[in-house]
Amino acid sequence: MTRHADPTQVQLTADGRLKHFLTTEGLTKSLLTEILDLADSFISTQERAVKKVPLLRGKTVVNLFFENSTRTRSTFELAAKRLSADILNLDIARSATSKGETLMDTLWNLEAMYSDMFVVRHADSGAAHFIAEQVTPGVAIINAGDGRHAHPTQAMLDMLTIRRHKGTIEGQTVAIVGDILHSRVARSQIHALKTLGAKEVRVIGPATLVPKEMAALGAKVFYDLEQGLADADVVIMLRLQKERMSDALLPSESEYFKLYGLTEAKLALAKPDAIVMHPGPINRGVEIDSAVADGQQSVILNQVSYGIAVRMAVMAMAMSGQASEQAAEKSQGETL
Amino acid sequence: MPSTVNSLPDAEVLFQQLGANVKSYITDNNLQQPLLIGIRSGGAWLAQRLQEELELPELGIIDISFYRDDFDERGLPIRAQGSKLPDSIEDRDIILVDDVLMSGRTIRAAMNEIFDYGRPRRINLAILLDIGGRHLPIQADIVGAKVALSANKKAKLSGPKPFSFSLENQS
Amino acid sequence: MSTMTLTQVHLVDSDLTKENPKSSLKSVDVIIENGTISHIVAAGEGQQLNQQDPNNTVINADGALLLPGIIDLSAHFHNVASETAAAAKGGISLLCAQPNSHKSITDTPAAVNLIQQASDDAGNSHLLPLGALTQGLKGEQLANMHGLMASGCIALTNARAPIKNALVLRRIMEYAATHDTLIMLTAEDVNLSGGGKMHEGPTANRLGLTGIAEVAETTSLAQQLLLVELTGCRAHFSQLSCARSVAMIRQAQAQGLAVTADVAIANLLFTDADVDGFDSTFNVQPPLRNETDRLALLDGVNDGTLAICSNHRAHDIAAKKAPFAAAEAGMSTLDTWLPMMLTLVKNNELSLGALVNASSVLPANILGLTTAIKVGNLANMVLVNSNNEVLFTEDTLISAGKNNPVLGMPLVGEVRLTLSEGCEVFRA
Repeated sequence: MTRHADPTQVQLTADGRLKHFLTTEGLTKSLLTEILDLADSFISTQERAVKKVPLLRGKTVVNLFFENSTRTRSTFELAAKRLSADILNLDIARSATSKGETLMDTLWNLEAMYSDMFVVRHADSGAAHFIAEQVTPGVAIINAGDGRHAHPTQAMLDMLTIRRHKGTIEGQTVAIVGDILHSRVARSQIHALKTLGAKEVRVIGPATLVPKEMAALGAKVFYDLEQGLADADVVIMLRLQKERMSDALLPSESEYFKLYGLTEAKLALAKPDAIVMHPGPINRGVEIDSAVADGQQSVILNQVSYGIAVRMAVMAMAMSGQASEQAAEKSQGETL
Repeated sequence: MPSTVNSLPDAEVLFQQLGANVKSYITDNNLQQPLLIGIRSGGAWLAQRLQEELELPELGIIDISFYRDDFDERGLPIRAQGSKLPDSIEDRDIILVDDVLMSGRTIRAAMNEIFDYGRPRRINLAILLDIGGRHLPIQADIVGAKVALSANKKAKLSGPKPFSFSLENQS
Repeated sequence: MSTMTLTQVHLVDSDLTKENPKSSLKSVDVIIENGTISHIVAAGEGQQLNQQDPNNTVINADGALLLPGIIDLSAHFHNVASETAAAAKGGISLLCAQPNSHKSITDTPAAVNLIQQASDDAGNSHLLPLGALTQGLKGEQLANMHGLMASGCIALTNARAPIKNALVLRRIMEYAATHDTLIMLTAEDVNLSGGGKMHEGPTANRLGLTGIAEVAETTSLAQQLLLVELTGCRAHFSQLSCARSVAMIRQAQAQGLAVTADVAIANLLFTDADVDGFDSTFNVQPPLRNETDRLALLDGVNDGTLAICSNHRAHDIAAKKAPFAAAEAGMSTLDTWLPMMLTLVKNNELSLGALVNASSVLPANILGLTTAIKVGNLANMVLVNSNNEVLFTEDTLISAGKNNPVLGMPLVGEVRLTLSEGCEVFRA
């Protein structure tokens, strides 16, 4: 059994281009910026009469969702269609794979369909990375969320949102509030924000939901919402899952809202021009007050529309990286 | 086609020629509110300077990165910047501008992209230097000059001010 | 009558104690007659003794190390033949077979017999069956502890299956104390482990994997040590992983409790940082902890507190080819256990004396076996060129499990000869 490669490197070609998109960790500032720039150009194609570009014409993209998520799956589906790819949605219930058929078996079956790209969502951390290591060369893997590990496309659409509203990510103080422990989005955001030059990344919540090890990722840990929000430029609220109460991580939704829910009064502690973000879907009155969610400073709805452009960008870049790698290998084979 | 050359004409001189040709083409064909669309990057520089000289109100820039037919061989160009076209191109007279015309594939891609923005009345093609070697049935309506290059050579425009040509090996 | 003469061996003095941690080497010839050590004489004198014997096998060791029989306190055997062959080639003389290792759980005399039979049939390194402490390893009802010991178990253990009810645990200990039965326990509060698959720390947090906190081990160990004190049973704690646990064992021993402990070889070589890249090879129970823990465990071995076990578990490729948390836990280590230890010696992290103590002397004492290289003892020993570099690959591993963590890594320690219970089970 060979030693596994670093997940941050598995996603890159020999010359440093993206060929899978597994995590924001370890990617350079210029590569993350390239994703944002390309997403910006796709935003402009979304404003045309014909919203499609023929970039991935003839390619087959498979949405491989081991966890249900209609929302994320739909944005990937639309992104693939706008790149002119053929898309196949496979909702593989968790039970199908636990009844003897391993993830590897599932993959081998799917490879017979000559897919060019898998968009993978899986409950196990590292699943997308695992699949990227196993698939035939030339097939791109896009991570649409793996366990608590990473959700890089969501993080990049958040970066795009910040850049479009604040002009730049450099120098911003960003507060991420809520269930950090279970959040793949938060982890991906922290890596991206640090690389893109944010001044400070804060994680705020009770100790049951904010592991102290977050400091090792470069985030500053706050247990008090008021202190954490002070002078923030960007406030990102995370969704609170109902299970957290039954897991004995929290006493009740009402106590959580009292301590960590974002209200207008608390938001006033942040900078006056601070923006409020939320990866959705929102629990009104649990992590965020309706007045804030629908308020002047909320950019939550804009986030959704950027999601398609960001996903188009990473799909195009990953497919492009695969294409250039395959072409390089082919020409190397010819010269040998 | 003229005989094979090993040196290229002066690009600034050629640009003046192209400007004059475009101007008379507009008059001769009675183009109403013609819209110049330059193809990134050489064609965009040309269109920009043509717009200034001809004092036209509008300019379009088109980036064909998403429409290329060699994606499987080369992937995306490192810097795809996107296109910037006016709000509507419905029923417009378009003058598509590019620096060098060879295979015609770039023009094919640009026309496909233009049609994704709407249905223009007419697309005219203005080219600074036509070096032959077409793969597609595409011809320029307006040219600065036509030359024949020796095999495996191509011309590359530097700019935007001043313009100059250099000879490169085809990859 | 068969005789084996090993000439020019470097014998490691096995009279190693906490008070005398330095091992000394002496150059001798060793003669084994019908499986029993008959002579240990000064180097060069052995060959004269058996010149008349036509069945005398002479092996010129040429200065290779001769170590007393290495005893593995914990290994799992799905396939007895292949895995004991791996052990033989790996220089291991005797191995304790975990009760959840063979085709059925070792909770009946019949199952014990099955393992003994499989071990005899294989004819490789000899297996010592460990019986189950509770029926079906469920942690609820006591297994026929006395009957299992009578049918040949060397000790009883619940493997790593939890005994959640402390009252059940207390009764197991009392019953074991009644019959002076050695029980092997593991320290893990599975509720505190929270379904984790690796050490709780920065790496787990970064990878988004649920972590197993150190307190999952230490609180359980504390509770069990108090119960040992109460019941007066003989208890061996298997596969400790935390620095704190080593200190607790030292304290318990100082207090006079009959407790011993071991550490799996993986925890002496690797840390949680090795899980990076979601490498499922490093999905092990107990988890690999941090560098502080690794160094404290090495200290514990070096000062004679801890024995070392292989904690071998062979997996087929499918079991490990999965996302980290979904992969089966365990490492295949029998082929490489001794070279792994010798590499630690070469790196000055482990003394040679401590290696012999932790993998032979201490396990023998714990299990009540006699494996020292002394005249009159049954030959259990390994001859190894401790400085020779060795490199293992999937193809050179004898074990069916290719889930070995040191493939492709340069190690030292080339095994030349292994004797188990008087029989030659491997010769290079």
